[in-house]
Amino acid sequence: MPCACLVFGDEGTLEFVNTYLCEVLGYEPAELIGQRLDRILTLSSRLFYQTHFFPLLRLNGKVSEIFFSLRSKAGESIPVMVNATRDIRGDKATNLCILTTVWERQKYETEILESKKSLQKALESNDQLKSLQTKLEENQQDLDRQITILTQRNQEYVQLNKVLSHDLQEPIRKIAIYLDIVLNAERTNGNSALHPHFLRIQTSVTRLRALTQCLQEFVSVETSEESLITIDLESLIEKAKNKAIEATDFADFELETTELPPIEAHATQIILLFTELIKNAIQNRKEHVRLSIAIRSVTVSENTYQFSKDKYRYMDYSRLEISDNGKGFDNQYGTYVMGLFNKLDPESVGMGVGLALCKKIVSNHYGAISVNSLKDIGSTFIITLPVGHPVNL
Amino acid sequence: MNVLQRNNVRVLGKGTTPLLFAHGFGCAQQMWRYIWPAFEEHYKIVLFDYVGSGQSDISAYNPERYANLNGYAEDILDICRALDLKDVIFVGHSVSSMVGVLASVKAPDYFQKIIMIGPSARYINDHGYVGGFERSDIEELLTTMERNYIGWANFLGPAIMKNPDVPALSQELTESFCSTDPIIARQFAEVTFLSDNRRDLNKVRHPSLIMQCSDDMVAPSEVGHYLKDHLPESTLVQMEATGHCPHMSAPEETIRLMKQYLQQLTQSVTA
Repeated sequence: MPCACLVFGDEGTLEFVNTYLCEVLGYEPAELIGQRLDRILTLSSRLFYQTHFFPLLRLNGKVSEIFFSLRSKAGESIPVMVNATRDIRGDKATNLCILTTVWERQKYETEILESKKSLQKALESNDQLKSLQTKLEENQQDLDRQITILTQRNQEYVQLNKVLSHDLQEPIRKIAIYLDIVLNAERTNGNSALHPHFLRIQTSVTRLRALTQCLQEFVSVETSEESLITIDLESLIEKAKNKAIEATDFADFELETTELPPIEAHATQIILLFTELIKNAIQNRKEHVRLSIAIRSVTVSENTYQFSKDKYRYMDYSRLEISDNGKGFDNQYGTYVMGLFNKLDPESVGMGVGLALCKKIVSNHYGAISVNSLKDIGSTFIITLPVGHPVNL
Repeated sequence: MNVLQRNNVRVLGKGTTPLLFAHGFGCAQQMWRYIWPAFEEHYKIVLFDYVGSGQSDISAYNPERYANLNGYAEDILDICRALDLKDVIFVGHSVSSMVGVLASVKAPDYFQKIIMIGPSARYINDHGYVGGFERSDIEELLTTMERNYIGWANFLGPAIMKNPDVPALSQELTESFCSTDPIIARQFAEVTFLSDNRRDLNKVRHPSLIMQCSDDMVAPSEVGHYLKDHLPESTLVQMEATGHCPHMSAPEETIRLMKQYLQQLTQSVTA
C-alpha cells in the first residue's frame, strides 16, 4: 500500500504504524508502537498538532487535506498531507490517519504561495501607496499651516521675551525709584496719612518684579537654540541640586539617584527642569521631617506619536520618577499645579511658575509629565523622555 | 472610543481588590471560566478580550499598534484607566504574562502582584538561553498555518493542552475562537513567538508568581527557572498539570496554587 497509515489514542500514543510509514521514516515498527506521536513530528508540527490538528479532529471527528511535516529517524523533515478520522467506542477514542508524502506538490505549493504572497503584497502596497499619497498630501498641507503658525508664534515669543526683559522692566524700575524718593521724603518729614498705601505699592512692585522675571525665564526657554546632546543625567542633577540650594538657601535634605542611563536632550533645559523640581520639593517640604528626594529611572517602550491618532511607533523612553516625602496634595489637583501661576498653597514661597516651566521643558523634548501625590505623604513626578531623537529634529 | 466595549470588558465578583485576567494568544476571556468563579466571593473579577480576539471590536484593530506586545499592554492600561483600578492582581496566561510585565513597568501604580501561567521571556533559543524553539521552527509553524489556509483561530481550541481526562470543549467556546480574524491571529502569532522580553524582567517592581507546567512544549521548565532568576521578588511553582493550559486542563490545581500564593503574601504583610 503506497501510503502511510497510523493510529493513535487521545493521549498521543502510537497504537499502529504500517510498513510504508516505517520505511519513509526509517524506523522499525517496534521502535514506534507505544511511543508518543511527538517522536515522528517536527517541533513546529507538534505545536500545530496540539493547537490546530487535534482540536479540529476532536471537534469534527475528521480532518482532511492538512499539510504538515514528519520527522524521520535521521532527523529529516518529510512533508505530508493528512486525512484523519476519529472513532469513539465506549470510553476509547481511536484516531486513524492516512498520510501521503507531498514532496513535489509541496514545491508547487510553495511556489504558488510565494507568488500569491508577492501578488498580494504588490496589491496591498499599491493600495497602501495610493492612500498614503493622499494622506501625505493632506499632512503636508497641514504641516505647512502648522509651521506657519509656529514660526509666527516663535517670533512673538522673541518679542515677548524682549518686552519682558527690557520694555516692562523700565516702568517697574521708575515706579520703584519714585517710590523710594517718596518714602525717603517721608522719612525726613514724618509719615503722611498715605504711608500704609505707599508700603502696599512697594510690596506690589517687588512682586511684579519677581513675576516678570519668572515669566521671562519661562519665555526664554522657548526661544533658546540649544542643540541636542547625549547627557549624563546624574551630573546634571548634581548641578541642578546646587542651583536649587543657592536659590532657596536650603541644603538640609537628601537626594538619592539610582542608575540613570544617558538620554539625548538640551542640557541647560534639563538642568532647569531638575532645579525647578528640587526647588518645588524644598518649598513644599514638611516642617519637622528631613526632606528626602529620590530619583530613579526605567527604560520603557512608548508610542512616539502623541497627537496623530492611529499612528504607532514604539521607541525607547526613560521613565523618570522624582519622589519626595513632602507635604503632598490632593491628587485631583495634579493637572492644576502644572499650570502657569497656579499655586495650591498660598503660603508657599514659589511664584507658581516652576512646574509650568517643567511641563514646557518636557514637551520641548517630546516627553510627558504627570504627578501622583498623597496629602501628608509626598509627591511623585513621573517624566517620560525619549532616549534618542531622530537626527533632524 | 469606549474601551469597555472595545475590549468586551466584563466586571464580576463581590470583592474590591481587582483580579484582572488576561487571556493568552489565540484565545479569549472564556478560557478563564473554570478559574474566576473560585475568586468571585473576595475579589472584583475583570475579564476582557484583547482587540482582535474573542468578542472585541475588530474594527479597532490597528496593525501598527499591535505589531508589538506594547500595543497589547496599552489595552491593559486603557482598561485599568477606564475602570479606575488600583492594586490590581494581574493574572496572565502565556504571552499575556509578558504583556502584564510591560504594563506594570509602564504604570506601576495600577498593580500590586503579577501571576503568570506558563510564561516565557523569549520563545526562540539564544546564546545560552533555552526558549524551546529555533527560529526555523517558528518560521515553519507560520508557514504551516498559512499552507493550511486556516488561520490559527479558525481552529484553535483552547487546546494547547495535553490532559486527556477533560472532555471535549463546548461548541460555544469554539465559536468564539472562530470569530477571530485569521489575519489578526497570524500577526498575533508572529508578535508572540518572535517577542523577547528578557531585558524587561529586572524592571518589575511587583511580586510575581511563575506557574510552570510540566511537559509544556511552549514554555519549557528552563524558561521558568530563567524567569525566577531574573524577576525580582518572584516565586516559582512547579505544577503537576501538563501542557500549556493548566487553567483549562487542571483548574483545581491552578486555583489552589493561586490561592496559596495570595494567602502567603497577605500573611507576610500582616506579620
